[in-house]
This record gives sequence, structure tokens and C-alpha cells, in this order.
Amino acid sequence: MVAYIIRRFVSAITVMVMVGVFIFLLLRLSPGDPAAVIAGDSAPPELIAGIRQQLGLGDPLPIQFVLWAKSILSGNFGTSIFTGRPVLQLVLQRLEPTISLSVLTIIFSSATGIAFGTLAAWRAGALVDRALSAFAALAFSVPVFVVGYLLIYCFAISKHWLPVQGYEPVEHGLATWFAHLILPTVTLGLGYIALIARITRASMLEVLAEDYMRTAAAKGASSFSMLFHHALKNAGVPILTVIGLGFAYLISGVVITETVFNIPGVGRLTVDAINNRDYPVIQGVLILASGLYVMINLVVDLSYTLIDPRIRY
Amino acid sequence: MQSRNAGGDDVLLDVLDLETHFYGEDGVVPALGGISFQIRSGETLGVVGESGCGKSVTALSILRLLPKLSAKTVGGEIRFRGRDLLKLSEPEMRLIRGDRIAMIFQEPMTSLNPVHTVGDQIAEAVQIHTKASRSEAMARAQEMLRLVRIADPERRVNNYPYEMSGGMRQRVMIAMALACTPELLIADEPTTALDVTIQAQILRLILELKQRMGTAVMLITHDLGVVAETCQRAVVMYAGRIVEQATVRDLFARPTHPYTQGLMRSAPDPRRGRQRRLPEIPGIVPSLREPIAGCSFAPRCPYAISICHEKTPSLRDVGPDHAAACWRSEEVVGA
Ligand SMILES: Nc1ncnc2c1ncn2[C@@H]1O[C@H](COP(=O)(O)OP(=O)(O)OP(=O)(O)O)[C@@H](O)[C@H]1O
Ligand SMILES: [Mg+2]
Repeated sequence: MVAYIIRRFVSAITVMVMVGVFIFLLLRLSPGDPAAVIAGDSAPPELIAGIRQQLGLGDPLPIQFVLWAKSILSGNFGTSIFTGRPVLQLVLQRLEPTISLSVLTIIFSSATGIAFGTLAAWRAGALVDRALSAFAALAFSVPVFVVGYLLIYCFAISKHWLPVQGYEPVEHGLATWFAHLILPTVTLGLGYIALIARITRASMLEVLAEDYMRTAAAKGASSFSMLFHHALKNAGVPILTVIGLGFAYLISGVVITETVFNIPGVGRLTVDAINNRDYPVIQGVLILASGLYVMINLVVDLSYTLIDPRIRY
Repeated sequence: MQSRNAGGDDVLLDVLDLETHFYGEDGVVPALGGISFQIRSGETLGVVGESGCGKSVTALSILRLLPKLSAKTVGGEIRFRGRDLLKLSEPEMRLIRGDRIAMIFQEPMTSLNPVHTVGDQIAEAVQIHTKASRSEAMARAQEMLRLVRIADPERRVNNYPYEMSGGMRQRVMIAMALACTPELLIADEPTTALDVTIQAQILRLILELKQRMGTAVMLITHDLGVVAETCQRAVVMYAGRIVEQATVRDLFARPTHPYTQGLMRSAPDPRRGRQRRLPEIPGIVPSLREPIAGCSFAPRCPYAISICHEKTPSLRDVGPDHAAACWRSEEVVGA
């Protein structure tokens, strides 16, 4: 187990180094003078020179990379060209809304997706199953922003049940915080639910046909216990995997959702940074998001041992 | 007709004209074509027949555990202590499964849930049917493991199935089935999948516990030798029907259906040990898909005459507690 964790850690670090190289080269190998690219179209020459200085563009590439990686490892992601403030600070400021939205979405989508998938498998072929399949296909193919504007129109503009957009921090009260997050969570979660429900259904169908399910029935177990005590844990590994992989989908969805609902989170920060060509900020966000993704999948892999005793590392 | 009160009044299970169909893509398969038999309290009934004759379907029909979408019991009665199980609601049926009628399956390797400990799985049966607390149920699980002679039960309760051998898993299945001291245990070829050396041990264990708990056993098997050694009465099945039923003593002394005779004639030489599968009888087992005119054994039967190909014989008494479904049983016995 320890050996496995170490091995996984090493591979996670390798992935991160590769991501780092990629992000690093993205800017340096783009055509033209990176400093001019960063500074923008009508920048004064002094600004371009300053940026050139800041990025150490005079040095050979490998040295530039080492210096760049070193500063990132020490927590220095550079300073925003647009606001002149440290990138890390900018990201940390925007973290609360994004974390609130992501965590709520993961909880909501996992619970709903697993429930839908289980129900569909239990009633395979019946009307409920077909209705859920149709819903999943639809939910997966409609773009996030369409869903977002539709929900805003229905629940915030036609009926004034929920706020149209914006974000309220937790310290302004749990109820307002939550009210502002309901529509964004549903919007962001819909595709994720479809993904999880599909995998859950397929995995559960396989498990429900196993001999040990008949044994459970022969004991007198109820349908609920059969599904959730006996079957779900056996079907869990693929479900957990898709929840982990779907996290990538979530990251891209967060950017759109935050824009649609005007939530001042990391997603909005990224969009603004792209609009402003604020390269240090874009780089910082990319690195942090990749790091998070790699870590989540490491945690998912390790948690397999919790649901299936036969899995040993 | 066969007499219904043969042999006494202590009837535990009374199956009457049970009919079960499978629904496949290519039509309906009448897996059970109306079978009737009884099990009395505390007795061991053997059910024998070639592969595919409907033994497992009979067992699953009794417990109503057939695959929901593809199979259905379409006729008959299953009277358990006088109550027709086919008329019970699903919640009422759940109270019976595992508590009053329990079942052991053929495949010990796949019949236990791989992600729960064996202790949990035995305790679950206890907790479903009694008000026992979790610790009481776990104590019962340990006691059951000791009863089925698993060494070191204190440690073994916390094992997962993958940590056990096939024989041990079948012992766990027995422990689970008997944890609530059922009145009837259905054992569907409980030893077929096991190592030959372990088969006799498991069989002996079932019989010993049955004796101790006063449980009746419906023992499904391929092995006539096992029937001779362990059962009081036996039922011989062929192509979804019962072709002969009798006390074991009578069955071996006076086999009255040509199929039973065929089984016995080619029975293994006792000096060469027991045979795992029933011996081959010339001809092929009929497909249940096409409707059979007359007796389904007629195409393979040396005694067959024209009526055998035209009308299906029903079970008729040929002696006390002995019935056979054959138009020519007198000639068959006399031969
Ligand atoms: N899942 C199924 N789908 C379709 N038909 C089935 C299914 N299970 C059983 N049958 C039909 O029911 C008949 C009886 O099957 P059953 O499993 O009861 O045989 P068996 O006597 O238990 O055989 P074995 O000794 O091999 O276990 C089969 O010949 C087949 O036609
Ligand atoms: Mg069988």
C-alpha cells in the first residue's frame, strides 16, 4: 500500500512536470515576442522591456524553465500584468465561490446520478428506465449555458423564486449563500448527473445479475437492501472512477457557469485573464487546476480499497 | 390419480400442478409442465434428473426467486404449511425466505457477496428475521461458523469470501441458510462444484445439522448414489415433469418408469466410487421449445408403443407411496 502510494505520487509528479513544461512552452514558443504578446497590441516599449526582464527571456530556455519552476514551487506564480497583484493572491480571493459551487455540485450530482442510475437498473426496460435514459441523453448534450439561461428565465425571471445571478459569501448567512448557488449547481450538475447515472446503471445491471444477489434475496432481504447494501458497493469502482474523471468536465463547466451566473470565482478570473491576455494569471490557474485534477484522481484510486476489499495495492 | 394423503398428515410443502414458463426471444419455454410432490416435516426428499430437466427451476419457483423479466410461474399451488406461497404478497414472501425456507446454491464461489465479510452476511440473515441486535447477530454468526466446523470462527467471521476455499464458502452458505433454523432447506446440488474429497464432508454436515434442527431437506442432485444414502423419498424428473416418485427403498427395489430404470441400469459400479453426473441414456433430451406430443421420454424409450407418442401419461399410483407416469408401468416393472 505504502509502496503504491509512493509510486502513484511519483507518477503524479511526472504528470505535473509535463503539464508544467507544456504551460511554460505555450507562451515561449508562441510566434512573436512573448513579452510583446503579453503586453498587448499598443503597449509602450518600456512595458515590453519590463516584462522581458521579469520573465528572464534573455536566458536560454532550460534555464528559464528551471527558474520559472523554482519560483512556482516556492508559491510565487508571478504577478498579474493587468492588476499588478500576485497571481496566488488573486486566485485565493476567488476560491470561496468556486469551491462552494464545485463541492455542492459534486455532492448533488453524485447523489442524484447514483439514485437515478440505480432506479433505472432496478427497473431496466420499464418506463422509468427509458424516461431516465432520455433525460440523460438530453442532459448530456445540451450546452451548459443554454441550461443556465433557461433555468434563470424559469425560476428567477418568470417566477421570482431564486436570485438571477451573483454570489453571496457564507458569512452573509447560509440561506442566502445556498439560494444563490441552487441554479448554478443544477446547471453545472446536469451533465455530470447524466454521466454518473449512465455508468451507475450499466454497472448495477451487471451486479444485479450476479449469483450473490440471488443469495441475498433468498435470505429475505428487501429491495432497498438488495440495491444499496448488496449491489451498490459492488458496482462502486466504475462509478467512483467516472466521478473522478468527470472532474475535468466540472472544471471546464465551472468557467462557463460562473460566467453565466456572474459568480466572482476562479472561473471568472480565468475568463477575465484570457480577455485581458493576463498570461501569468492564466498560467497560475492552469497549473493549480491541473494539480487539483491529478490529486483528486489519486484520492479516487486510493479510495477503491475502501469499497472493494479484494483491491490491494 | 396419485393419492394426496399418502403416508400421513405432517405435510410441510405440498406442490400441486406447478407450471413455470420462460419467455425468450424465440418463444415460450414451459420449463415446468405441471409438477406435484410433497415434502413432510423433517424428511429428506431427493430430486434427481438429467441436466436441464427443471430441478433448479422447481427450487426457484418455490422461493419465488425466478428472474423477474424472463420467467413466471403460470399455474399451480405451492402450499407451505397450508398457505399457498403463490398467493402471498412480496413482503409476506420475504418473511418466509431465509427464515422458514432457506436455500443453498450450487456455486459457492459466486454465491457470497465479495464486498461483505462472511460474518456480516450470516448476521444479516439473523437481523432480517429476528429482533437481534448487531452484536447478538454477530455472536450467532460465530456460533453458526463453529457449527459448520470452520476452524477459528472468531477470526473467520471477519474474513471476506475471497479469503476462503470453495468448501469453506459452502460451509458459510450452510451456516447462513440454517442461521434462522428453517423448516425447509432447499439444497440445489450443494456439492457439485466442490472437490470430490470435500463433497462427502459437506453432505454429511448438511444431514447432521438437519437432524439436529429437525429441518426438512429438498436435496437436488445428479447422483443416484447420494439419493440412496441420504434420502427417505425421491422424485425423478424428466423434461420438466415428474416421471416417478417413491420411497427410496421402493424406487431402487422396483423402478417403475423406463427412465428411472435407465438411470439405474447405467448407475456406477459402487466399487469404482460415485459418479458425478448421471449416466448417459441413449438418445437426446428433448428440447422444451417444441411442444411434445405424448410422453416426452417416448423417443428414447425401449417400451414405447403408439399411445406413448400420442397421449401424455400422468402420475398414477403403482404401489403405496409410489407413483409413475408411464402407460406401460406393469410391463416395465415385470420386465
Ligand atoms: N434463464 C433461463 N432462460 C431461459 N430458459 C431457462 C433459464 N433457466 C432455465 N431455463 C429452462 O428451464 C429448463 C430447466 O432448467 P434448470 O436450471 O431447472 O435445470 P436443472 O435440472 O437444474 O439442470 P442442472 O442439473 O444443469 O442444474 C432448461 O432446460 C431451460 O430450458
Ligand atoms: Mg440446476
